[in-house]
Amino acid sequence: MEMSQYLDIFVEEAREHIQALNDGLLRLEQNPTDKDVVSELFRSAHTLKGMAATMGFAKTAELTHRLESSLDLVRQGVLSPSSSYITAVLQAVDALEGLVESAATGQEDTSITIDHLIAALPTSADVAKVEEMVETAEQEVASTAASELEEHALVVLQAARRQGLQGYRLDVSLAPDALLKSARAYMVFQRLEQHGEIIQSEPSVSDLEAERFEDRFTVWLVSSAPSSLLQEEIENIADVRSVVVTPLDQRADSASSSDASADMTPRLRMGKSVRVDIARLDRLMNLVSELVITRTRLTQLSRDLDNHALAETTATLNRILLELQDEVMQVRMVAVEQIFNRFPRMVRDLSQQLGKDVDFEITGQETELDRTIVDEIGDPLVHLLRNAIDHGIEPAAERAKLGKPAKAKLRLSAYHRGDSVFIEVQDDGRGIDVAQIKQKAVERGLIGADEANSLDDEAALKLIFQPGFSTAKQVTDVSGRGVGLDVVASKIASLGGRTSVHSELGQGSVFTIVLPLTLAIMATLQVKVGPERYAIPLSVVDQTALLKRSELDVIEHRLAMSYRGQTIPVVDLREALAVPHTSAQAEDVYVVVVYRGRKLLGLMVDELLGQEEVVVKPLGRFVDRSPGISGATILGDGTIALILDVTSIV
Amino acid sequence: MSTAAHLEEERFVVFRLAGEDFAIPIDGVHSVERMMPITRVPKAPTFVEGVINLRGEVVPVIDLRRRLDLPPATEDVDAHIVVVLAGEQLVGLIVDEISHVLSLPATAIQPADQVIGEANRNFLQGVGQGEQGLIIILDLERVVDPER
Repeated sequence: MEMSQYLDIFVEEAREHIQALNDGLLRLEQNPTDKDVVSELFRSAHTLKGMAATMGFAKTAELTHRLESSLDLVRQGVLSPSSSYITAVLQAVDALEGLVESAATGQEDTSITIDHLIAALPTSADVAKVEEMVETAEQEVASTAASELEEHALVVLQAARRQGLQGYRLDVSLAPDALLKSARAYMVFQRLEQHGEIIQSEPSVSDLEAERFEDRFTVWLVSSAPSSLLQEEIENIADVRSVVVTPLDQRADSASSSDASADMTPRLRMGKSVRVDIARLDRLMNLVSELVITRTRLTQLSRDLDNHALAETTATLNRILLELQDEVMQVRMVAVEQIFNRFPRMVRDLSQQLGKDVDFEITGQETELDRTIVDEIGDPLVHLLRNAIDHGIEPAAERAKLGKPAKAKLRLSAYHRGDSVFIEVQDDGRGIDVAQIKQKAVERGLIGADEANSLDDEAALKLIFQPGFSTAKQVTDVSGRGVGLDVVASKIASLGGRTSVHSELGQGSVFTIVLPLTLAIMATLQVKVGPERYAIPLSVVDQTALLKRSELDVIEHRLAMSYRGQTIPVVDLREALAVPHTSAQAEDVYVVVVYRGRKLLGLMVDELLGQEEVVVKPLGRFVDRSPGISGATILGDGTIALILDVTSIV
Repeated sequence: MSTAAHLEEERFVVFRLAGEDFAIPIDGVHSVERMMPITRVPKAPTFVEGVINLRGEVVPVIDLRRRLDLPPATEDVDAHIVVVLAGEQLVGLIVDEISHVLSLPATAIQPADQVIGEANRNFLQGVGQGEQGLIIILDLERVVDPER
C-alpha cells in the first residue's frame, strides 16, 4: 500500500510520542507509584506500535511492541520501575528515535540493532492479554464519560452554539471491501473540515490513521452547513457506503457543564493550522525585507519632493508595512520549548553518569524566538548545562561537608525583556574562583601577571569566554575536551546576542544569554567614522555622549573615560576599523557606550546619524570573517553600511 | 574522451588585465557590471576591494590584479566588475576592460604549464588561441576560493 502521503504525519506524531515517553519516564522515575504516568506511557507505546506497523516499519513496531509489553508489567504492578529499568527503557526510546528519524527519509534504518535493548527489557510473553487490556481500558474510559462527547469537545460545542453553529454526529460506514480505509477516513475529515470543525471522532484520529477500525467510524462536527450538504459531500467520496447525519440537540451537552479551561488535545486543532515549509517563510521574510528597503527609499524621496499627498500615502504604506512585518515575524516565532524539552533527559543521564544528584527545573519554555535562532541555540545551551553539572555542581559528599542540601539545584529559564529574550542557566554549585581564573589565564598567556592583579572580578570572570581557556581540573568525558565557553560566546555573538556570567564563590553561577527576538531586521544606531558609515545594533547600546577629546584619559597607552563612576575603555573606531585618514579628528567627539558581555565599552565616532531599522544581509565570501563586522545592510539611498560586531572589535 | 567532446566548443568571456587577455567560462558568469561605488570592509584580505549593492544583494568584490599578483594599473582603464558564481554565492571581479565573448574548441586549450606571463600560476587553468594572440584561461573555482 502506498503510504508515502502519510509519512509526514507518522513522523510528526511518532516524535510527539517519543517526547511523551521521555517526559513520562522521567516523571515516573521521580514518582514510581504514579499510575497515571504508567498508563500514559503504555498508551504512547501502544499507539506508536500500531502506527509503525501500519506504515510497515517492522523494527520500530517490534521495539515498541516489546516496550509496551514491558510497560504493561509495570502497569499491572508486577514490576516496579527501578532506576536501572528506567534507563533500559530510555535507551530503547533512544533507539526508537533513531528508527523514526531514519523512517523520515522513507526507509527504516535496519542497521540499528535492537536485540540487546529488547533483551534488557523485562517482558511478558502474553501479548494477546496486553491487547485485551488496552481494549478494556478504552472501554472503561468510554463508559465513564457522562455523555458520548468528551469534556473538551463539549466546551467547543457550547462555544460554537453561541456563535450560531450547529453540532452534528456523522456515522460513516465504508464499503467492507474498501482497500484504503484510513485514506478514506482522511478524506472524510478533509471534506468535513472545509465546512466546519471536527471536535471528536470515534475511534480516535490516530486509530483511524493507523487503520485500527473495522469499516465504520463516527465524527462529531460543528458547522454552519445544513445536514443535507454534509450528507452529500460525504456520500460523494469513493468507498463510502453510507452516512447518517444527526444534528445534536441541546440535550447532548446539558449532561455536563464543563469548565472552560479544559485543555484541548492537539488533534482538535487540526482544522485551524497549516504546516508551512520553513523555506517558504524565509522567502516571505526576504520579500518583506526588500519592501522595507524600498519603503526607506520612498520615504526619502517623498521628503525630497515635499509633496503632501505622496507623504501621506507613504505614511500609510509605512503603517501597513509595519503590520505586515510584525505578522511575518510572528509566523516565524517558535517556543524555546522545542529545544528545552530534550534537556531533562540529558541532565538526568549526565548527573547519573557523574554521580551527582540534581534537581532540574525549567521555566519560561513558552517564550518565543525567531525560528532560525531557536535552531542555533541548542548546542550552546547543552554546553552550559553540561558545564554546570560537571564543573559547577559539587559531588554529593562535598556538598554535605559544606552543609549544602544534597540535591543540587539547576535551573534553566527563559523570559522576554523588551526586544530581547534572556536565557539563564543557574546552578547552586561551587561558583567560579576568580583567583584561579586569573592564575590560569596567566599560565595560558592570555594576560600578563601585572594585568591579572589589576583586573577586577567582573573582568576576570570574562576571561573564561576567551579562546583556549578551560577551568576543568581534570579532563572528563563530559567537558574539558578543549571546546570551551568561547565557542558558546562566539556562537551567541554570531546570532547578534551576548553571553555573560555572574558568580558567587561557594553559592553558584548564573550564565545569561541575551538574544534578539529576530535576526532579519535590526534596530541600529547609524554612525559616521571618518567618511564611512556604520550601524551599531541598538540592543548593545547603553548611551551616547558628546565629549571633548581632552576629557578622555589615557591609561597605559589606551583611551579610557569615566562613566557612571567607573573607568571604561574607549576604542577609537577610526583606528580599530583602519579607516583611511582623510581629516583630522575634531575636538568634539561622540562616544557610543555599548555592552560587551556585562562590560561597558566606549566607541569613539565622528558623528551620530540617528536610529534606523535595517535589514541584515550576509557579507558573503572573503569578507564574512572580518573581525568587528557581523553583516551589512543596504540603506535607503542604495549605499551599504556595515554592521559592527562589538564583541569582536579590538 | 569521445569524439563529440573534441568537437565541443566552450564559450568564454574575455577581458583585459595588465595588458594581457584573460578568459573565464561563460557558464560561471552571472553578469557584467559597470564600475560602481564599493564599500570598504575593514581588515578584509588585501585583494578584497569591499562590497557592492548588486540589486539588493551585498556582493564581495575582489581586485583581480592583486589576486593574480599583477602590478596595479597605472594607465586609465575602463574598469568593469565581472560578477561570477561561487557556489550559491556571488563574487565580483574587477577587470581593466571587457573585450568579447569567444568560442574555443576543447582541443584549442593547452595546459597551463606552457603559459608565460606574470600572473600567479596557481589561478591559471590553461591557454587558448584567440584571434589576436594567446588568451589565458583562469581557474575560476580557485580564484573565488577563500582558502587559496
